[in-house]
Amino acid sequence: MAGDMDRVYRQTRKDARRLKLELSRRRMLQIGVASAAIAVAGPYRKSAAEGTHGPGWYTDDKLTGEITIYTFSGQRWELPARGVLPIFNERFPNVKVNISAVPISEGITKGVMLASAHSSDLDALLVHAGEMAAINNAGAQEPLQGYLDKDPGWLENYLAEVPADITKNYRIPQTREGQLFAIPTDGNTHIMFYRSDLFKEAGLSVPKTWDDAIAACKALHKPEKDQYGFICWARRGLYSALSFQQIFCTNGGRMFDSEGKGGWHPQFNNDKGRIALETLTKLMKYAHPVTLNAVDDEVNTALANGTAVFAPFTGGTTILNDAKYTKFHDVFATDLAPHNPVPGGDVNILAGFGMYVNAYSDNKQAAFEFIKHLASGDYTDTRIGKALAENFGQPVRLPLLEKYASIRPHFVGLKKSFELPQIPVIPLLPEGITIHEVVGNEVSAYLAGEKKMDDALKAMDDNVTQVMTDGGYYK
Amino acid sequence: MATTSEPTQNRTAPVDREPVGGLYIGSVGRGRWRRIPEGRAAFLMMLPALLVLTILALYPLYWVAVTAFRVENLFNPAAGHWAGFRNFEFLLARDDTFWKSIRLSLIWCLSVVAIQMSLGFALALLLDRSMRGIGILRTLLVIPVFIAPVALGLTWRYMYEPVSGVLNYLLTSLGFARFTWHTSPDTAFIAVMLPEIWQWTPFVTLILLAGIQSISPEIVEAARLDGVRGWVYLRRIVLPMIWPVVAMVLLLRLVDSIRIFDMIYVITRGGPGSATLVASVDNFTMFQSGRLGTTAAYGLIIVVVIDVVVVFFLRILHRQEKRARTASL
Repeated sequence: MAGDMDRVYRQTRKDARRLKLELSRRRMLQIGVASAAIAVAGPYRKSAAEGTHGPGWYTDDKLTGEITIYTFSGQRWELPARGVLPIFNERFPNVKVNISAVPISEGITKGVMLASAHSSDLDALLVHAGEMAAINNAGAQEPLQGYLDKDPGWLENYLAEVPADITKNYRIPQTREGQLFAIPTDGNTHIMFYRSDLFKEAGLSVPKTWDDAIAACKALHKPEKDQYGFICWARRGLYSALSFQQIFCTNGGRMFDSEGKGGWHPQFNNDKGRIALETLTKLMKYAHPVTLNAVDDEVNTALANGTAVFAPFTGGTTILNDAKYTKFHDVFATDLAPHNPVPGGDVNILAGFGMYVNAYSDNKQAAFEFIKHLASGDYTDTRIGKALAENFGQPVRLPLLEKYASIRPHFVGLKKSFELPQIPVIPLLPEGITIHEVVGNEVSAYLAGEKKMDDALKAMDDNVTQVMTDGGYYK
Repeated sequence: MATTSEPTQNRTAPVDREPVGGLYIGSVGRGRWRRIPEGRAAFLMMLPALLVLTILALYPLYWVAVTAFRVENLFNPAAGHWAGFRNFEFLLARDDTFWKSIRLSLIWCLSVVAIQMSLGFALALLLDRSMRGIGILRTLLVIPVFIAPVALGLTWRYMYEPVSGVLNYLLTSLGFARFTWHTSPDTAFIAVMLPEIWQWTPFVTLILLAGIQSISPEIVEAARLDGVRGWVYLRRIVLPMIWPVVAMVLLLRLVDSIRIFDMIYVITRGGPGSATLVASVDNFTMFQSGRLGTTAAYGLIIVVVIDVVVVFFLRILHRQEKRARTASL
């Protein structure tokens, strides 16, 4: 099997090299004329798909078996995976793919538990960068570098199109020098969603700083018309932490003094922590009533039904530009989330997911091929990126975001965000989720009026210190 | 010959003798039976149940008890170590939300059950009459009980939606101001109580109705002839007669309410802030954050609290039942 794959990879590498060499001006002219002729010939083409193949295209009918993919249900994860499946079946006709989807709210914890169970039932699993350390610690991840190195053309193209700040989170250790143990397949950051019609009407420009954002919220806030100027995720736990972190980090705040031996001391109880909570308090004055208990579902629903009109920072979603979901689909625009012009403030909060091959899988090669296929762009086949975009996916490849911005306008905001330095949404430690949960509990206690600001910030430091002590980080 | 016939007699089933305690096992066809002493037989009969109980309850309980004294993080098992009473100390002395959650659980339990019992009893009295359509009405009453709590919670969550929900639409249509329902820390706890009361009051009604209808017509007639009516009739006749039923429903609802989870988790997940963070939801969110040691310690404390509450209520019920029986004599 490995020998066959080597042969296939060698062939694609040759094709890629040949294409690179032959892309002269004359050659491009020839390709242009040929493309036009093919387009005119239309119905007489031998196969519609052949024109979509890139240099990385290969098929393998010797790869056989059945694999099960663990992903999250609905948009962004399950649907894009299903969307690219027919093309995968074309390439690997003897591999049967089952997709097992669970709700994201339970999926992250369940993913870690599945990894700890060392089961062979699942072959490729969705993973958040913040879980990488925990799952890798459990010995559940197959190192992918070896598989990827066999197809250097694809890897080179992938690494050129995906920001290194994203891929590094899926390496072990999670630095640019680490080895890939998962491949990012879904890109997401906090981006700004705003109603361009209302901004225009109020004479507002796109907010760049937090003060701009507060002013925009105030100008747009008309509760008597069921129009609320602000919405964000603020439910207790993880989601509150995500909102706090966006403001905290873009004001130059960082969770720890340093990440390494002698460091790992939490840094919330300081001016940056206070600025973040104060900013959140000012924004909350204009908040939609659901905000205090909101996650994606509530935020997207309120924006879609027109009762919330401005989300300075929220996760990427396709529904706000989809006529099936909202009548405001053509006026929702996206941009970078606000930043304050302070040292270290010019960053963005990175989310998104990758996929890894289960080390206990019985069909690792097929699982790897599926992940690689899902993460492919035009280099393999132009239909893959199109299927991702049309099936509500959010690719990590910058050219795909640019190419499909016409059908998914929020790709504009995503692409802009990806180009900034990224801070992982969950700290890249096994205890990352625990840390976020204890921080978020304090943020929401403060927002709900259960705690004073200084008590909440102190509790954040105390509780994170306890988590780090328990994890042995101060030894 | 006698020597050969005796063992044969011993091996046959003692069908024509006085029954002897214990278990007889053997083959009917061959007529050979062996008696197992009563104690051992009882043990053998309980063995399957004991095995299931050990696997499903005792072992997890043991594991929880051990974990409660350890620092264990789901996401970093390698860092696990013994911690003595630290998890308990954290919960009881340092975690602000722990006591709030316990308090909310007790308030939830007492208020929800009290409202369900009072409303259920009132409805049962109303339904205890013969009139056209009463059968259909009783059937309709059962419907909420059969709805899955998650589906019910989601439905109420959408109904509660403060700007576009149907409840506020109705309120504003009638000229009232909008209500914050589950989105404000001040009203969320009441908002999550309503679906629970709506769902389980009919259950209480039906059980109590069955109890009321089982009172002998002679007693009812005798009470009427004696001119016993109204509150006195309820207190002196109805309640003492249906007291065992009341006690059973009360206990069922009490235990069910104290372990409420799904409805609250679906509607508010314990929020806004920690306004609806009852103990079970708090404990689950702690588990989701990976703190297994603290989660286990929390679980043990909840078990103790539930046991204390249940025993306390059982004693009160028992005492009141005794008093009611004495009064009715």
